[in-house]
Amino acid sequence: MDEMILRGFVSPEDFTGSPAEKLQAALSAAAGKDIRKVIIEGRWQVDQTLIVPVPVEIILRDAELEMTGEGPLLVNEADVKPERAVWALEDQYLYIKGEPGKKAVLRGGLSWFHLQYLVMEDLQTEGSVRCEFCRELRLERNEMTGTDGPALLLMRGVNNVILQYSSLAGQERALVLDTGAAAGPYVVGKDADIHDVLIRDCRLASASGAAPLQLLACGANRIYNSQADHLTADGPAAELGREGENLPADRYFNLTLCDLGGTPAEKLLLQNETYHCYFA
Amino acid sequence: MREFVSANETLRADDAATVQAAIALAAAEGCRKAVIPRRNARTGESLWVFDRAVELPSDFTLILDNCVVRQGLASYENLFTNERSYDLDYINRPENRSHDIAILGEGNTILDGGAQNMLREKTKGQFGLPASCHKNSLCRWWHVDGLRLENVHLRNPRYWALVHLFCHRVTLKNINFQAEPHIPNLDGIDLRVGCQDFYIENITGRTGDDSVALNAMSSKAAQKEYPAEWTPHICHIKMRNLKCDSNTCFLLRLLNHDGNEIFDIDADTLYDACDPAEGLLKKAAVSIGSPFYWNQWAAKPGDTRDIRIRHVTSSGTNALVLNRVLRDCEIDDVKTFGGSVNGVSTVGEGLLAENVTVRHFFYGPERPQGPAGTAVNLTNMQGEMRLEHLQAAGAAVGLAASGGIRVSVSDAVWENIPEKLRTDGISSVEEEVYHG
Repeated sequence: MDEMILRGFVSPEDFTGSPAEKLQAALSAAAGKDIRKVIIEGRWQVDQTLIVPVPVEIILRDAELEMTGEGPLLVNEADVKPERAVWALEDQYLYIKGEPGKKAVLRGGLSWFHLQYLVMEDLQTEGSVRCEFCRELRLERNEMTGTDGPALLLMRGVNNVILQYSSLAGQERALVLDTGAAAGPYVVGKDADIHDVLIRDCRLASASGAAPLQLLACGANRIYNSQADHLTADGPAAELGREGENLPADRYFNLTLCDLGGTPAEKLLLQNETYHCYFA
Repeated sequence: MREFVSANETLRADDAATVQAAIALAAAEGCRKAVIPRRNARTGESLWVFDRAVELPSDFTLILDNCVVRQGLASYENLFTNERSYDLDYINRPENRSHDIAILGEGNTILDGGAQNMLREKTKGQFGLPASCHKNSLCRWWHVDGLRLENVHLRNPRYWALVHLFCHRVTLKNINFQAEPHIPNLDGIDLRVGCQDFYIENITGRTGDDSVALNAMSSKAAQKEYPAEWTPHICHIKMRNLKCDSNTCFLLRLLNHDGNEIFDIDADTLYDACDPAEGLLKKAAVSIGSPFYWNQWAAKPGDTRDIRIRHVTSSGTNALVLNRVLRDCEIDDVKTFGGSVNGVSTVGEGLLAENVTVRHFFYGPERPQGPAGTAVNLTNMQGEMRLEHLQAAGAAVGLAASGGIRVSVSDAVWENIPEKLRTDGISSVEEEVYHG
């Protein structure tokens, strides 16, 4: 262990067992021994979800991780611990990054719950990345592909997101903001609104032909103070609201959708009234 | 040649000396890269405490690898500065200008001010405290050409966190602030006189004062600190994605006097990240100019010019505060929320506006019980201003104009505003398209 501390990082090759056991041991050691950095190289197939304790930095160096079993490939610790809905016990600081020009593949879905400060950079993700009650996210230069859902799903209680310089592709949708989507318990004291999300300079694609970006408010929960600009997509880029549903206009408040590669009429499907939104 | 020198290879009596020795060794060996790792082998802890500033030489990269670096409890010293930056006889010579310095964080890197030492603007020179606050900043750079600071969390700054004077070609990216306690003087990023060619991107978190401040003022005493031929202007600044809570101050502040100019400023996407429920009402998201703070003379027409700002949200008392002089300025897509009272406004001596346009401006209460202020408050203003594509709801007054300003308004929608227009008789408002 002293060698790992001196070296400044943990590798799954430092441990024995199945691939999943070695990876989980590396993640746990990085947190438990206050090393905080895991470097993963090569190809790994795991049959059980890996739990990521935080704070930690995971570097994928020409690496590929694949889930062969059920459930997501990675979850943060707050997603599985019993007290996960306690506001004061929010997870903090998770960094996952590849290296420019090298393979850094996460195949099998990621689930982040009640997490503050997430950075994902230079990654290829296959499977949905889901965030619920998360804040201060920075996702840059990623290639994200959804296999059984959107490439990225921002659920209730997500705020302060910077997503840019990335490509996202999905079957039905590529990127969904949905205040009604929930997987975990409600974090008491938190707000279910989605707000302060910046989506910039991204390429979006959906196999279905539907607008790849969808914004969905639900009930009294709003989407506000958010922006999508300089997106490229074939056909309509964004759809706001659900066809046949008519929520009050302030559920979609202070939104900017601009520079979508065409006129708003061509690139934007408005299914709901909005309040103080800028479309261009 | 090896790639870098670790600070754990050069242990000395204290942490600052240890890191300084690693930098010296890396420079001597030629790799010109040093790393501060997480674990401090001198103490066995995951903490580095500097009682004096670490000076970075030119053409040098310092990697901060998941480490925590803290200012010493009893120190009034920066964490990092450029080599001999306080020795003005040395650093002001052209041949001694610092260049190409990078500080790059990896993972969870924290630069921490630690406990407050109470040295701020109102206490400096008193109670035995130093006469200058500048050494209390986390990083202070003087006369640097080529500087990068990326991927760091800045915690508990004791004063302005990052200070730049006469710096050119600077990149500041992925910087997250957490200023506690949430008190004045704890600015985030300060560009002072002579700063040019900055790129600032992804600035987040909470600052105790202005989040990003471009301040070009010079007292006669300050002017003696740099050669007369140096330009004190601030120009060619691009910023993108500022998402901060700036306490009761400004998310972005542009302020110049004393003959110093500010021009060619491009600010793209400034989001006020405060929680209105906390009840801390900031002054504004964006402030340009001020009737105060000048040392020799106030800014003159043309001194503040060529400014482009787009995509702003604000919960401040005002969204935009415009003062003194402003020429060739375009502001596009501004929205209020929370407790915002006025949209566009001025304080003090008013504004001389020349070729100023505000377009796509959305003012209104976030909730029906929101405050009733003035959507566009152009009191005591002169010159000309264009307002295009306005939507305002719930204000007591829609547009107030006084002082002789000529305002043209196109495509305005006023809702639930009892007094849509208030003028003083010498100002004029021309409405091209009007809905009310």
